[in-house]
Amino acid sequence: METYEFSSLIDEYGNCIYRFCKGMTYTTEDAEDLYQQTFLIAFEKRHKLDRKGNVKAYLMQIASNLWKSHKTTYARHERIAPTVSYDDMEIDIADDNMDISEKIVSDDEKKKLKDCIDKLPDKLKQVVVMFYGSELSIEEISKALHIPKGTVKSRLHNAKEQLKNMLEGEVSI
Amino acid sequence: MKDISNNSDIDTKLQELYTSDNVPDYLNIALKNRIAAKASTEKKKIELWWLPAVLNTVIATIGIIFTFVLFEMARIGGSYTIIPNIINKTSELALKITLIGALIDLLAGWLATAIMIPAAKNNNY
Repeated sequence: METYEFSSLIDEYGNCIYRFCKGMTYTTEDAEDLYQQTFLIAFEKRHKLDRKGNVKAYLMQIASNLWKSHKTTYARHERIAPTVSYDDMEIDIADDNMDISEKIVSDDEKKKLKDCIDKLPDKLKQVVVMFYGSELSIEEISKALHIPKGTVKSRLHNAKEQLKNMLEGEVSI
Repeated sequence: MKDISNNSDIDTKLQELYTSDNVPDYLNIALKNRIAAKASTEKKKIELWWLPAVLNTVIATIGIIFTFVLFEMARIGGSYTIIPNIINKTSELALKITLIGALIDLLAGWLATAIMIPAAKNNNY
């Protein structure tokens, strides 16, 4: 595969991989690092890449394996120096249709949901991020994680139940 | 926060959570530059998978020639001409075995290289 062909893969699947990296790490820097490492490794192994096969699942598999090998490092970064990203602090007021107070509430709800997702066990969190963030199908998640489709569905269901309980628990306090 | 008891509600919220996370342009530009640099480095690499087999061939050939010349010199000139004790103690059979051993070593080296070529190329050696 030529370099320009590989660059087109970055344009095609970049958002999908980035959302996974952003969803699984705690800081933008770690997410960007994981994102770049994923594509660099994919480039080294490009001779194994089958353009007609499921490229998305293959890239996600690399990202997932990389994340697993570095997750203790990411957790340590967050433990030693917890950060609040400037993105989280910003309020995007470009949307004229939304009242600023509604926007603040919306961003607050998103932050709470993200915090709840971060509290999920890794196995459930991974599936949630892949399904909703990277918009992978059940089959693609199954191929990326080497687990049966039934297990993917079960983990998704369990994750949603736990999230519901966590969010309802916040309301009842 | 309003009560979330509806599955479709949480589905919607989860979908909305990630829609704004698009990869920044500067990140893709930096990544593509790194990949271009990596590709350029790969092209400059010298492939050395053949080197062990070639070295083995040269050394084995020198060994064979040396042994053969020694043998012929002893045969023609007699064992007194060079290192008499060693020549006397070394039988013709032993020399033949040494020559055959060197040839087997030479062939084995090339066979091992031929088997290892696909693995070596995949690992960019």
